[in-house]
Amino acid sequence: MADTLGSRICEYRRGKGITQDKLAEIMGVSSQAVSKWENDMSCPDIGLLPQLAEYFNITIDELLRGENSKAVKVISDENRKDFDKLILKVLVSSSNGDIVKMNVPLCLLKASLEIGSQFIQLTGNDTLKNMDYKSILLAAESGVIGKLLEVRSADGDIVEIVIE
Amino acid sequence: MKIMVDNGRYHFTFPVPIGIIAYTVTNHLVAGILNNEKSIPVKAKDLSVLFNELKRAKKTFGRLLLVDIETSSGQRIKITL
Repeated sequence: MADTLGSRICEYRRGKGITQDKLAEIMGVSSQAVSKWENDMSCPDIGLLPQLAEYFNITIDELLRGENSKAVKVISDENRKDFDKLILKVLVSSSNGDIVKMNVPLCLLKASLEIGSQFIQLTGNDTLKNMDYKSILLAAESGVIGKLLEVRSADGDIVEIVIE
Repeated sequence: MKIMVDNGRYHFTFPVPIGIIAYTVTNHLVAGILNNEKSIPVKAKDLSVLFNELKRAKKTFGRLLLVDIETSSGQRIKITL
């Protein structure tokens, strides 16, 4: 499937397990409009993008640019973003509908690890409890950015860790 | 920093001025409270490092949404830098 806005809307909709009619109802448009979006015959109104992104638990950037923008990359020294400007994004979406999003500046994570704090484990998720955050920091300091981890458990929990 | 709690019926927003929490007295106060909980042993000196880093992050990121928790029952907690 081509990596287009329509294909991404279709993919995220299927991921949610809903029909075009249901998505149309949620967004307040006709089902024909959703069908046109997915077939790249038209685009959603700009005002609907935040609503669509929020519904799919993604950013507008991800919706418009796709997963490729999150691919893991190693940035060379000269093009590397300042470490203090990097953010660790954690998304935990549990099967019972609870959603936890965290945007932790890496400088803050580093300071908290230095004092032995475990504040990032407040979600109680097992995947996060066993996470080696020191290695994540090391990777970020070496210029690694992008989606480091995506776990989808059998019972429907999703955990994503991204460095941006 | 702001902490917003919304349980569907009630909506609270607690402002937490970072400039104030980065004081030595506050560090000792918070460390004392956390140490009473036993599960979080932390020294005032360590907290000072964390709070100063928090101040620095505020300068860099502005109003960054640190934590957004949304439960299936509609409750929501947001912590903004």
